[in-house]
Amino acid sequence: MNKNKLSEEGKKWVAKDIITDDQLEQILGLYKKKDANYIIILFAVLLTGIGILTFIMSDWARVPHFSRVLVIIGAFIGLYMVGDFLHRKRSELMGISFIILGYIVFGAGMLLTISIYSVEIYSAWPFIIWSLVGLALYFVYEHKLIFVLGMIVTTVGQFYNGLEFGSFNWIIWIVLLVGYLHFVYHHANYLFGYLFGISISLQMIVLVMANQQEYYWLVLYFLIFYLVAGLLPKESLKISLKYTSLISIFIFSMYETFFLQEEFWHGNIEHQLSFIILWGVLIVAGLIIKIRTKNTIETIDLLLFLPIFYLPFSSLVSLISMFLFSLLWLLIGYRKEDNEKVLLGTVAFLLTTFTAYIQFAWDAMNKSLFFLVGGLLLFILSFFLERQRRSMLETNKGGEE
Amino acid sequence: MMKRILFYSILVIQVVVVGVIGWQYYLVEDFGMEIKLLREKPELGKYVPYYEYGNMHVDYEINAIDEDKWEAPDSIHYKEKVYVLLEEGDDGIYHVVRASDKKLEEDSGQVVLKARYRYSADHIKKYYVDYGIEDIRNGEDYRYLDAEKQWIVTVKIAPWGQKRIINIEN
Repeated sequence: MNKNKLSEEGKKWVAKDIITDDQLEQILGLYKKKDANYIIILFAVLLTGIGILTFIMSDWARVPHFSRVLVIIGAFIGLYMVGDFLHRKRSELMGISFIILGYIVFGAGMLLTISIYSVEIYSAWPFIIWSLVGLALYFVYEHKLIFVLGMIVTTVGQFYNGLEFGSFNWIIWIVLLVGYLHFVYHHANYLFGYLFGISISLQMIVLVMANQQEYYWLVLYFLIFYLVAGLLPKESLKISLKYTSLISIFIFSMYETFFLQEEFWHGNIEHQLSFIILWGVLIVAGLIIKIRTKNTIETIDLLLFLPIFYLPFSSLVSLISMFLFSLLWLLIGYRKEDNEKVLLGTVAFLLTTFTAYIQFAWDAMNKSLFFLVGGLLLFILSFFLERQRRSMLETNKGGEE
Repeated sequence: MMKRILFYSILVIQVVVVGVIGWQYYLVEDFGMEIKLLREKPELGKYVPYYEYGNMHVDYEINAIDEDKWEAPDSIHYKEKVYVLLEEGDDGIYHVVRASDKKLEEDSGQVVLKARYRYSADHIKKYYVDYGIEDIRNGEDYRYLDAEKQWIVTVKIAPWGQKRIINIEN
């Protein structure tokens, strides 16, 4: 909660004799005032980082001469040393910014050296080194920003490997699953959880594309991701990873709906038996887990993981499963008065409606009418959903008094 | 204390990584094995090197591999690694013996180069690969060469696989 708001509210509580003045002070003491400087420094790092990257693309830097290498090495040693000094003696945040700049110069400089000396690489090993250095730096300084950057480098590395060499890099995958997961797990928080989840989903896409598997294998990978996320013991990780896996499969379903609508593609899909066997095993395992952990209501999540492309009228079935999923989430959200579920259900419902709308109306309608009607449709929907949510909040309040 | 040691060690590792990537380029000249390659005589405007941002693009004879020397499966995809076995001919120039997606053994007078698959030209029964020496960064230095004639390019191959162009003769 915002500290100012809290102190305002707190005064009312003191006036009503709910808490004493001392207690209010103690409570306020728990909320450190956020460093306003934070944003400025963040932008400073961002701009300087972009400056460095553009410099590296310049003509001067792209000459194969050892002086370039020395300049790069000098630059990152300097930045690291200054950062380390500031971190220990002055401001922690300033120190971290310099460390991060050093980290960026190192990675970009390494890629530049590889490029100017025409070093032939056959895998994304520079990104592996870059990612591991990030991990080690996080271990030393334990600052979130370093971790976020390291995770981005890892994910970009996997994409680079997929695009440039047409293959999935298992070492990067292991670095993520062993190295990064270690900290994601032990320093469990929502930011790390969501970032980790996004990285996993994106890397799974590379896995499917690079190995030229049929696109629907993603369903299986996301399902594994979803089931494993549900088994994690820490609440923050469980929730963040489960939501990322659900969001991934939902976006995938939207894409699939359009994809399957085109007869042309549908004819080209090879229906592999191995997929359906593995899928069956996983779904049964999932159901058993849900029932044994007394989460039977969560079985509706599995609706999104149905192998729709095996069915006739698959694009329609896909839409129906998305509608069912979002409506059930909404219903359960209202029933359990779980605001988060209601929000996600609402968004899912709106997106599904929009998908269906685009699918059926895009070709049939005049384009301006299309957007106009679409917009109005969303207005009406959001009006009803909002009214529903408000009435839920009111009944909530009514219950308390 | 342990974290301080770790900080300095990762600093050293980073210096070594960037330093070695740069330094090895200069070591190629001392430790590399010298081979001569042919840039074929251009056929009517074809293969004339083009210049772009100071780079010069050169197509070598060994970029095109005949179908009967090609041993990689058809499932090979773009940019996949290919091993190409070269042998010194009577003219002192290295020519392709065979190419495969699996590692190849080399005899004396032979050398294996790593390449990346580009595409196949079925109508002339040839497969095309890249060796990473097609784009010459200091291309402007070679402006004096007669593009209409055949070139002989001297390349050094380091034991660790890197290649460096030493000289180009007309």
